Amino acid sequence: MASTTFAAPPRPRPRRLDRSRLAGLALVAPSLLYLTVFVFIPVVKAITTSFTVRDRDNAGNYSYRVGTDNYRAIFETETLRDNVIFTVLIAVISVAIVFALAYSIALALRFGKGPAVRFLSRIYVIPLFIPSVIASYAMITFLANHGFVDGLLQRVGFPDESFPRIVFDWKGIVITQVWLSLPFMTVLLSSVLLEISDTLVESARDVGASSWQIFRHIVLPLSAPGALIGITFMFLGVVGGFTVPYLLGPNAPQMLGVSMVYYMTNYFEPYVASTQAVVIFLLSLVAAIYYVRQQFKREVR
Amino acid sequence: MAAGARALPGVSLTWAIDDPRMRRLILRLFVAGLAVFIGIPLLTLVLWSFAGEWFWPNVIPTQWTIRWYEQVFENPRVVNAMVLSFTIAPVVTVLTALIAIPAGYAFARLNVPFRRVLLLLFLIPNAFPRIGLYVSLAVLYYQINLIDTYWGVVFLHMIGTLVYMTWITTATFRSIDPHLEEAARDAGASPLRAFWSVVFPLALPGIIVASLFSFLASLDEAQGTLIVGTPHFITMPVLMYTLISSFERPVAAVFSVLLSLPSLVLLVAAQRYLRSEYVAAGLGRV
Amino acid sequence: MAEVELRGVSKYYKEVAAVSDVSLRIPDREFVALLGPSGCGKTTTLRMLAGFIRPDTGQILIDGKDVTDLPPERRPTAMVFQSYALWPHMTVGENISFGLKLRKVPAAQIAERARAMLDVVRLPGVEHRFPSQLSGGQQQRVALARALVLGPKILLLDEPLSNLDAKLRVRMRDEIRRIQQELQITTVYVTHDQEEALTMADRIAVMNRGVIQQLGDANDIYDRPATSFVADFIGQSNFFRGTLRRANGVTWAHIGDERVAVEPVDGAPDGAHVTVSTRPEVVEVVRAPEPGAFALDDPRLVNFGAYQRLAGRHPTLGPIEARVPKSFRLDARPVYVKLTRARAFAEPEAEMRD
Repeated sequence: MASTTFAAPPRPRPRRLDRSRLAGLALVAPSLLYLTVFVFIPVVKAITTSFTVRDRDNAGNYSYRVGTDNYRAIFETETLRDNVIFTVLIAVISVAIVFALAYSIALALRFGKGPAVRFLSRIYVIPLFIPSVIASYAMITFLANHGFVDGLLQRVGFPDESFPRIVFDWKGIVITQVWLSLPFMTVLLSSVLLEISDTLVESARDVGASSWQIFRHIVLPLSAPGALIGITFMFLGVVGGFTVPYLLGPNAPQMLGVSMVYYMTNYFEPYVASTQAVVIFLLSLVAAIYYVRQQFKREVR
Repeated sequence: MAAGARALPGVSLTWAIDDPRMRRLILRLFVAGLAVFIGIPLLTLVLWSFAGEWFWPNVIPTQWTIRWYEQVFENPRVVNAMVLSFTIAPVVTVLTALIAIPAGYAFARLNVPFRRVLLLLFLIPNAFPRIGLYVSLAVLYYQINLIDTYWGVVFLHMIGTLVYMTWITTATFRSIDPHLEEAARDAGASPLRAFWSVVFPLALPGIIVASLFSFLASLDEAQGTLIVGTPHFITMPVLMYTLISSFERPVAAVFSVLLSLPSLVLLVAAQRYLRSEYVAAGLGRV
Repeated sequence: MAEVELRGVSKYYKEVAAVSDVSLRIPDREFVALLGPSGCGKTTTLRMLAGFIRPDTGQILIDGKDVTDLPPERRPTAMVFQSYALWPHMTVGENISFGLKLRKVPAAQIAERARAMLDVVRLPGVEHRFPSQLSGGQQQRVALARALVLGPKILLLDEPLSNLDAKLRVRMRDEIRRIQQELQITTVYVTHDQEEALTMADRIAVMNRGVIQQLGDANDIYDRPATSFVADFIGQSNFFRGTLRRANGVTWAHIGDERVAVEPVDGAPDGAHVTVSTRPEVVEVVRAPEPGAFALDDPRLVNFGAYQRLAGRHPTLGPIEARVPKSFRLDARPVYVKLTRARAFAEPEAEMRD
């Protein structure tokens, strides 16, 4: 029944400025100040620098203007363009593999029991505590030609030189990214799966659904929003990463993170480097917007 | 159901996950494979760190030694890097806690003006590619003379830890019944006293976990430190870049073991506080 | 000793009034219950008394002193929360002593007063236990002790029994009333449970949509509900809609072709639309036609253990229920009901409970 008989009285002015609002602002202020100096200003600078073009006249003097030349260079220069494509491909492949593995682990942890599952719950977190430099180095000694796996295969009778090139190749980057990102994605998916109540699963089993049907029609759809946050977050991490591709990647094509640092520190070219940063940002923008929107939805709830 | 129908699993490939024995077998194979994938690469590093003589393609070293450990501890570059790492990480953690805990509390409890805009701003460090941000920050550092300085490195490390700690503390404060705090106010405590006597002790596990992760994140940060800290502020993981490229395999292996130890020790120490919510909260899943 | 007064207090959330122009005077030592469905504004009112919410308009006075702008820590009120809100990291003793310590009471005295208060709530010797080691009822007693140890002028209770099982609820009800009588403390008690309100309170304020609908003792609100909302929310009532007509000094409500005599209604003209209510226990059941008795179609009996309820339908009036003794039997004879002591409410339909 509508309360039409009661006209809502106009809201009177608050007695005075709410103290808790002021206090809230004061408590957030230090963090905000920090983020402004060390995050927002650099981000804005990167964007403006990417639209700054440096020209050199015949006398060797530099002049600066606003333009999109840096962007054109990135998409017209073949090596730079290859880097962009390479970066996206690596990110997509790594995320796909990690997602499949992490989902399997999370399912086992959520619905399985017994010693194997307990063991699994202990080991899967280990990479979370290993610095990425160490993980990269471990993978180099493990997978390099004339590394651990190669040696093992030799021992059991594989012919010499039959081991494929993994390290200093895209495969090395992907395997190491998978190794490093697995725990994070698993933890995230586990917490998502925990939110699915047992009663939902049991009632589906009650009506005769098989494990696969339960997964396909109940678990997967219910976990999709949370899972997408994890995917987005990891995509952003791989696309903006440096250590793994630097230590395990090929010389060409390079992932953008590596290329950017080279342009910055070796060629002193902040213009190309900044442009690459913005391109990475734009590449992940769809992902980033999705990520931010999902977080907002949670916040509203 | 007829016995014949049971014997025939049907055309679906998924029959295996409904058969308990098959399911157990698949699970065990999966766990074993994962254990090898995660464990053996780390184990090879440990083997290398003790290898006196290890000719390829032997699977384990043929001679064992601890001389690489001695060598590493006598190397002044290594010792300097260790000292530096362990003086940066606590400072980063304390500074982060000092500004992130109030912000987390405000987001969880208070009526912050422009709340949505502020939350959006707090997500930006996660949404902009980190290495791009570091490169831009390096440009800024040149202008404000923070490049290759101690504080420059500290402030760079705080980018990641601040966001993480803000989200974790927000989630932690939100999980504490607000009535507990009100009961303290009701008993005569000022807002500050109520926070200190009631909210803070209850939030401590979350704060400890967040601090541990911040400490580790600072200890492990390599890519940003490489850009803004060279040549004078070489932390342990940055030194590791050099060691890897110098092909001194046993020395790098020893260093890897040493660099992983603090994390593993903290992992064991903090195990009872480690709950998956905290890790998930680091993503901003408040 | 302590008197509370709310003067024209309102609280808005966005444009919605959670509490709208509420005025209420509670004399010293009185036990007042704020009773209403969830969202009626009773808890908001209580939290404004405690100082957790600042009213948008109006004043709150304790012993004539304006406390509207005082934070909770500076008000002489003590609150018992629905969730008890015992601090889980402190022992029972520390919970009770916390406020005393803040007031810099000497340590020896603190221990003495904490022990004495645990005696009052009949839970001696648990000082060193943690709240999690106590049962719900025990936690409730500790929460009471923690509130009372500070010697507040006003005791505020927010649905304190809703987390207890039914048996314990009845026991704690008597217990809280006993303690209130012993300490002679002015008390405001928020509940949605009418039985709690009726059995414990000296006066009951029935609230709906941010407004006090009726303020009175148990007999007032049960026997003489001021609005159809109160008639509906407290106990059970039969409801009919009709039109008011006065004839020969009798007030009638015309319902279709029928009419029912109602208690006199002030301030509503003849022809006004009214809601008529009467309680099942005053509906008289007869087995032969007589003036003013309505025939009931398809009568059914529902057994409530202690009594039975007769339910049926009248073609014009609609469904009617009456309370009948357990000896009552249905047989081939028709059933008639007489609607006695009916009350008519001339008010907008929106006032009805949703």
